[in-house]
Amino acid sequence: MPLAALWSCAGFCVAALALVAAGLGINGWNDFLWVLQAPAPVGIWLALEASAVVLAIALPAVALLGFAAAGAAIDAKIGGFLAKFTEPAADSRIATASVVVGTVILIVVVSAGYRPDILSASLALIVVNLPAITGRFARALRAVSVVRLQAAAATGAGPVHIFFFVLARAAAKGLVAAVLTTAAQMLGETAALAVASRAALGGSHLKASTLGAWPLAVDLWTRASAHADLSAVSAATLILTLIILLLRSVAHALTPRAANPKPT
Amino acid sequence: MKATLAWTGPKVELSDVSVRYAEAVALNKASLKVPHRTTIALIGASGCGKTTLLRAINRLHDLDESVRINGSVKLDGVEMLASGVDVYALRRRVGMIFPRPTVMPGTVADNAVFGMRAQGIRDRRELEDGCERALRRTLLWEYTIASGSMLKPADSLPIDLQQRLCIARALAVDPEVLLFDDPTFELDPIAAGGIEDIIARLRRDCTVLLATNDLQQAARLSDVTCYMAGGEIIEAGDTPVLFSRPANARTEDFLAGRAS
Repeated sequence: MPLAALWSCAGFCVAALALVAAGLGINGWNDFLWVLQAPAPVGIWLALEASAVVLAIALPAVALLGFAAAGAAIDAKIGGFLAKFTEPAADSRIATASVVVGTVILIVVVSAGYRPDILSASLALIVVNLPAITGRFARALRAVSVVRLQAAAATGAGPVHIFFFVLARAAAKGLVAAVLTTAAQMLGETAALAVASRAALGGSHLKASTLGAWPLAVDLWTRASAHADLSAVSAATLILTLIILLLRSVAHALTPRAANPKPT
Repeated sequence: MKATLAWTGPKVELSDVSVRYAEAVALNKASLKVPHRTTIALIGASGCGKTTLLRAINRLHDLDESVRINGSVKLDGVEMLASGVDVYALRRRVGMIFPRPTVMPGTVADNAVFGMRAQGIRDRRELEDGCERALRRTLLWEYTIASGSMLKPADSLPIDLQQRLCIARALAVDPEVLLFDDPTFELDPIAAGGIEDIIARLRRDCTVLLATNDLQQAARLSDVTCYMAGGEIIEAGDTPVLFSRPANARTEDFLAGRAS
């Protein structure tokens, strides 16, 4: 993506945040506290809990599968024939397509008569995020110096020992960053999935979830489309944005950067 | 009674070893015999094939799919390039030290016993003994005890001590051959002197191949020196003889600092 487009996106995000904050300022910050304290369906605690449940189901599963796939992709001795299938994911070549695949799966599940619940949303999120997290894991693992791996091999260590005791340990921060980035993405993507499935199904299936609330991103979209109290929607949007920004910031801080040799 | 015959031939023997990186020939039909407990220095300009030759001995080229190797590498008379050879066992017998210190994640103690753990050794006592033995051989034991750095991250050590730790890691699995690939590349002369002291001690127990760009270091440490150029072994001979009366004009040019 050209740099100008990236800066435009960043500018748009900042402007949107400023607008939300301004809305809160005009309507009063009391709404901000109110959405945190009020009982459901006005308050957002249940929605936050639903978000946490989705993450609790989807994140460990996608992290585990992604780690295995990244391991298989970067070392053919570990991955064997599977490396051929996991390599494209590690290169993130199919990451974009997977969003479509995940959405289609959710739509198909709903069309087949199943009510979309937290579990089906989590499954769709796993499918959507698997290639992306595999790519992030692979990038974190590939950031480890090849010479270090050769030095480990030169002591007689096998590929599995090197993978777990050298590669994974040396890339630990990058792996944690990948998990946090994916968590942030999942918090936001639930909305995209809900929008897509509601658009396809007319919205009648999205009225309830097994927890009595939808994850926050879906909840916001539902409130906004129902013309609910806009100051409460703004406050809830700000909370979701702050959570995502916090996760992304920690991930960014943990992401290893290329070390420049110190002048001597 | 079954008699055990000791191998009396060369410890390491390379015959017509050629190594290609994709289309580029890095080593061209190199042949070399390294007797038991002998130190051989490999000298030559950068890119002449010193590192490539070392990596052919412990089969580190296997890690790179683009590398093709031909010829014969024997350890104690047994072919090591054959397909059925246990490469991991070979690498425990032939330790290698890299130009830059390459410590593993974890503590100093973790690094010292890395090879032992990779070998499957889990007995705590055995690991502790191995750690102490390896650190003593590299003159690190007293330092780590006195400074309390045994359980500190290995990369917190000064760079010269990190290189000693890398030597200790190789020694912990009791190698018979040690390959030093320009081990003082990043070190100042005093730190380099410390590493040379360790190599000089190890010469008594191990067969050593030392690739170096430091001619004085080669002269100080080796019994035999081998001059390489363009992926070929140009001349090999007793170190004092090769440095004082080289038989080949190219060797003479190199030692005199003339471009040949």
